[in-house]
Amino acid sequence: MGLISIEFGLGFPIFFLLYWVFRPRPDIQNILLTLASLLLLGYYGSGRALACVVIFTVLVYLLTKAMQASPSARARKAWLVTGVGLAVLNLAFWKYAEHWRGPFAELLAQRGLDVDLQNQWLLPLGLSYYTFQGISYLVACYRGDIDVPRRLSLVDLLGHFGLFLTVTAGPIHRATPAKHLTDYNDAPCSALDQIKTREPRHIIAPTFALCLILTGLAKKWWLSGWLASHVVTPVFANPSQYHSLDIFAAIQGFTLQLFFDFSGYSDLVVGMALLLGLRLPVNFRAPLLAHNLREFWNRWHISLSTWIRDHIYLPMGGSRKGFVRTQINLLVAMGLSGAWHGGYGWKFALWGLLHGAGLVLLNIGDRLLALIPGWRGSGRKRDFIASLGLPARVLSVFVTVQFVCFCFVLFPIQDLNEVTQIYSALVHNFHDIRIGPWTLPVLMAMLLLWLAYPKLRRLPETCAAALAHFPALLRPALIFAGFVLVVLLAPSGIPGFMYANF
Amino acid sequence: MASPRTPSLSTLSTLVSLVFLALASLWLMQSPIGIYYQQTYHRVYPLAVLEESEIWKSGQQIWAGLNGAIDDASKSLDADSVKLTDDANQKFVLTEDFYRREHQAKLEEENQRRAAAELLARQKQEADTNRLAAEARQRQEQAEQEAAQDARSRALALEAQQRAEEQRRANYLIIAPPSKVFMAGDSLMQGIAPYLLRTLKTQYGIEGIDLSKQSTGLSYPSSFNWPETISRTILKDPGIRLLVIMLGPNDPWDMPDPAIKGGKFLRFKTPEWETVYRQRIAGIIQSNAAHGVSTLWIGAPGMKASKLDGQMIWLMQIVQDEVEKQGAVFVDTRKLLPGDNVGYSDSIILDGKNTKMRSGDGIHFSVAGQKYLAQQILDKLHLPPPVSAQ
Repeated sequence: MGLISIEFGLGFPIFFLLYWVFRPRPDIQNILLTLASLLLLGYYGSGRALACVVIFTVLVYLLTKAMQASPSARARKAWLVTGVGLAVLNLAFWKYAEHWRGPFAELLAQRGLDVDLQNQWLLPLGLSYYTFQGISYLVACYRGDIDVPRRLSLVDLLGHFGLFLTVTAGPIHRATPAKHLTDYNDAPCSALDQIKTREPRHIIAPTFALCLILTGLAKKWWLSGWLASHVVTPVFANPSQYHSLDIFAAIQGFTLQLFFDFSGYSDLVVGMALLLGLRLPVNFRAPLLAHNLREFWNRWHISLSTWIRDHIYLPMGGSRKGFVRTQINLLVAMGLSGAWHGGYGWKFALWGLLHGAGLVLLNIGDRLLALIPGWRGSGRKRDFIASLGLPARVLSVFVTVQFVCFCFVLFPIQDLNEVTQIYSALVHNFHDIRIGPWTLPVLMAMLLLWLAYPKLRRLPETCAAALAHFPALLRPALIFAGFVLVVLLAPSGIPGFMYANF
Repeated sequence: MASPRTPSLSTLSTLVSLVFLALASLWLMQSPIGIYYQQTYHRVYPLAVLEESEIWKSGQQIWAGLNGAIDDASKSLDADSVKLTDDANQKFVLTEDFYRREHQAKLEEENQRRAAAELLARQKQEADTNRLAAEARQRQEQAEQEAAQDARSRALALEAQQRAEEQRRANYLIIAPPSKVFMAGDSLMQGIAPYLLRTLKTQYGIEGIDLSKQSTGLSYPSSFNWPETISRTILKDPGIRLLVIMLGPNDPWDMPDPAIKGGKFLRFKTPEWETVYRQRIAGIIQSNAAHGVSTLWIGAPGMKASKLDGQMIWLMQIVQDEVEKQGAVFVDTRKLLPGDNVGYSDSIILDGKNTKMRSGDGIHFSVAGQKYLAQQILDKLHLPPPVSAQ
């Protein structure tokens, strides 16, 4: 969706004014949000994307109504299974059926039915994210977390699923609270209370919000784009021509590019939501400082990993059914999470399984280490290596990040052969190949960024605090200066969005 | 973190900040926003009227100054980075042997270049002689034909003419090191070029230059001027012998009339539009020819959206006609990626396997599609026997 566009940038202040004119009436503000979301979805997506979200919402609305009207537990469960089944089928169809469109049309033609299936089976904008929110909503209604008086009206539900801020790429904003899913102040921030409120909303931390938006733009527009064109794309397209260090920088660079791209967008929408008095869950919490994979998934795309935890891993039994079964549950959950990241094909599922295998190894390691008498005596079960002191912790972070980078190489490639080429060049191209012109400074910058990362992750807060010392009239000018710098540094053109395809 | 001020004051001051940010951006970035507006809405930018005010116009100059400063800073960073890397390469990475080989390769390249230049000169001389002879022959034949009015000899003459044309075409796309290939185009070309570069370099030892840039075309030279970029690049690098160019999907719009600045836009699909567009194509090919550079023009493939597809069909028929009229070669990718009705298709059968050729947006190529098209383009070229470079 075109949140990073001139039209949106100029239109937002107008919407902002209209929205706050109705400050005493949050219910009218909700209608405005719904209308704006539908308009934007129709404009940037298509009529079909709009129809898809409306039909989906109406179905979820009717199903929850029927579910809550059912007297028997069995009937309620049946409604839940129907709803979740339909949502999953709908998602699976749009994500994977495109591959079968050609053969299916041929089959129809052979039967003498000449149906034109051209252009019909593309994933409608936003479908993934509102499907996740829809399933969460159905489950919350089934469990009684949302009772009849607190159920959302059709218009509010439409706004909840189609909200222009979250519909393209999350964060997955659930109606009810979930563990680990918190706002920028570490407070719970479920959607239902915020939609249902009759208390007038107020702008939340406007200077911080603007700084967050600026940081998001810098990450997504400038850093991610620069890394792609200078460090990643040319090397991945032609690995055999590059020095091992170039390949190493490109492998690191791709993960960093993905992180800047996705977390930048998340910052942007979280900041905009604050300006509208809404609190969205924070989706990234310095994932590249994680000292093991478990920690990584607590910090990367948090709204997805908690969703997978609550709606796939835990319903399968989680860790309650013994050690071996826990590991199987983990592998299945990660494999499915991986498969969701891509369309038809094996590489994304493989990526998920690699992460699953990493987590399983981590659990096995913890279990083995628990056999050491002294360690068990200390009463702790996890994080053995990271607790051995700073050097061991730095090493754990390094190894974790390298594993993450290693797995992400599967994202941009077409077949396994290319991965082999990349890694063979990494190992062999040490001698008598020139190092590329940007590799050394980039590697140094990455190291510096990484060392300063514990401080840098608080950059929006730091900037907002610093701005507070300036006179109020000067603040917009300083923010404008920051914005101009980002635009000047960014590669020209409006960036595409890597994660919107998922 | 919440503001200590009252909510309404905080709302008002945020609104003022947002409006200030919007207006200040419109002022400072008026040139890029104006170009964006023209390219997107194909109308005169409404705020262009403000350019009469010097105060408003000062934004343009400041923006240009800032851009210049950033360019200078990045150039100096570039230079520092290159120096650092060179030092490191010299001290830690490259051996004597590497430099010796590089020196030899350079000498060899120089020799090849000289030989190629001599060959080119010889070929040109031969071609001239042949042409003169052919002309004389033709005149003679014509005379004979006129005299005899013999249908058979007329056919023979036509055949000879066709053979000569085929010969010219065959020679037209010959490329061998040290000649270089220059790639230009939009985001479609950006996808294909890396694979072309890789194969040319690794299999044939031919260097390539890729300047393709997203969102570019021939309609809006104020946004990106391809004719000028191409001629400048060719002047700067005389090693370039072939231009592979792919443009079109960014072009099917009304465009500014180059004859009247700030005047009405030329409407797409009108004869006036067509004339200007043809002139730009012809200009590129003729300027290339003047520098001994051949042009291989890659057409746009079928598009998923039927409106864009229809526009591309119209535009490509113009492009093909003009390219061939100018004696260059056109590759019709629509026929290379045929759909069921020769329109758009996501996938084609390749080696018996249904392979997805296009990306989700129905415009760009998938990686498989990029590789496939790169190979199709290579097949059009007359390349030396492959060498195995590392």
